[in-house]
Amino acid sequence: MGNSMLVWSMTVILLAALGYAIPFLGGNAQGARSYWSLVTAAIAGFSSLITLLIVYFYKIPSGVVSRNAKEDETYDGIDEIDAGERKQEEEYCIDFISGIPKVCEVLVGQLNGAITQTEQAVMEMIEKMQAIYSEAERQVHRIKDAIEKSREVMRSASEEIKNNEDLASVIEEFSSQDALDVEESLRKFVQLGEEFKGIEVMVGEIAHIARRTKLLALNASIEASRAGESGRGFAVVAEEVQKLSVQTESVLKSVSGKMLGLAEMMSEETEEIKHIIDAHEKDREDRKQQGVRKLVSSLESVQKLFEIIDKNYDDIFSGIETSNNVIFESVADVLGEIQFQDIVRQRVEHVIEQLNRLNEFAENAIDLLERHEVTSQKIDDLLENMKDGYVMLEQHMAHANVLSEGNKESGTRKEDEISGIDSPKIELF
Amino acid sequence: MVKKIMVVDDSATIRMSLKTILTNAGFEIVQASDGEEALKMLQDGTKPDLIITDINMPKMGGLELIKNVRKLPRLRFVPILALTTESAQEKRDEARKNGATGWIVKPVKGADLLGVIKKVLPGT
Repeated sequence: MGNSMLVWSMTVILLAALGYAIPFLGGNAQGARSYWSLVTAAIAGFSSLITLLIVYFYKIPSGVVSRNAKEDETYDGIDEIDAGERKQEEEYCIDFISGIPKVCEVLVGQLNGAITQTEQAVMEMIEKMQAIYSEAERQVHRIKDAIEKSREVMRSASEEIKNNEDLASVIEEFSSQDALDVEESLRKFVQLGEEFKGIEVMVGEIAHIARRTKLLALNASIEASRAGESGRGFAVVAEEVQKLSVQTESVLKSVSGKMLGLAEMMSEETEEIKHIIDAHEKDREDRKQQGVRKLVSSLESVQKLFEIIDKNYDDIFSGIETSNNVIFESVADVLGEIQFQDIVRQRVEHVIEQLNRLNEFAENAIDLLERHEVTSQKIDDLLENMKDGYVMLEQHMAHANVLSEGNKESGTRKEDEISGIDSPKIELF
Repeated sequence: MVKKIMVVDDSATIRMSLKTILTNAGFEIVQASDGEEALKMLQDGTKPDLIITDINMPKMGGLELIKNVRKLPRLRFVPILALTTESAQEKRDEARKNGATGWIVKPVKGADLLGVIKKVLPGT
């Protein structure tokens, strides 16, 4: 084989690299698409340019060609090219291909830069996701604290209500005791009135004694008159006793009248007070009971309200917990998806590795061109070796899909031969 | 008691994302960037309740790490999950043979990963 075969091989390699890169970009690397598309465009443009140049300078028709007319009689245009011109073209071609490693180096640099850039971006994304999650978690804690404090206030208020209910019972009891005390006072008051009536009897008896004393004094003064001069002193005493009796009777009559009037008044007043107190007591009891009932009812309402609020708090808690779980799961899922960066990195690193191998291939090709020698290295070997570095199913599939595109007539599905294609993504042994 | 998980991966983004997911889920995390570093930490006394390791790493890969961990008596029964982009069935079979507890292909959703951890670490 002549040097033209090597040049053609280079073209095919570059096209293969392009074919490799394009399906890779259509895979899972959506997040980094902009970087890769630039690099692929550069590879595609570069490959196309080389192809055009080779076709132009060597006037290569379709199919495998050789510059050696003896080896390949189908090509006859080469004899028309002047040897001097051909030399110039060869030098240009060698010079051009010599530039390929430098271009590849730039492309590798771009790809490495893209890896670094995506890595930094992803790290920042993770930090921001963590910040979102932490903030959400802090928010939940703040709400929980606020609700807990509110609950504490409610518990305190509830305790107060319980105390107030007890107080209501105490008020009720105290009121009953109060009523009993008033009744006792009235009873004593009535008893006092009865005792006044007892005094009236005593006054009557004293009046009776006074009347008898007056009669005795009268008899004594009669007897003293009969006794003459010797009974004079006795007559004076009898007269004085009689006067005293009259006065006593008079005073007693007056006192008795007043006592009776007082007792009568007391009796009337007692009855009146009893009526008033009874009426007032009933009214007050009604009002008091009504007030206590109202108070208890209000307290019960507040208690029920607290229970509703407490239930609402439970709902809020539950809602917050649910939201927090959704945030947590979403953040976790996003962080899981971020693993695409590692996947892209590995695939790009593999592309870099292959570009470096392509470099070696190009350098070898230049060397051969310069020495007008042939080589045993084949493009199929390079393609076959690419597979050794694949770790992902997607890499194998992209490779298989490109090759099956070129071998449609064979009718075989390369995917079926890929190891682990049917294995589950998650497996516990 | 808080469970400790060792994450072994040469990718800083994977280590960071796993650390975030697992810390938020209440685990304590220790990290190593390759199998060699992880093995040294384990030999020096680190005793995790679970090891999550990548397979393709520089210096020492996950398959070798699993094999070496199983040689340490106190870590013989510690569950080890392989978390990797590797799809080759032969590698998966080798991991199982070396004593791995499970195999997870990246990318994995956080909820799925936590589901697997719950299965291999009961009570979490």
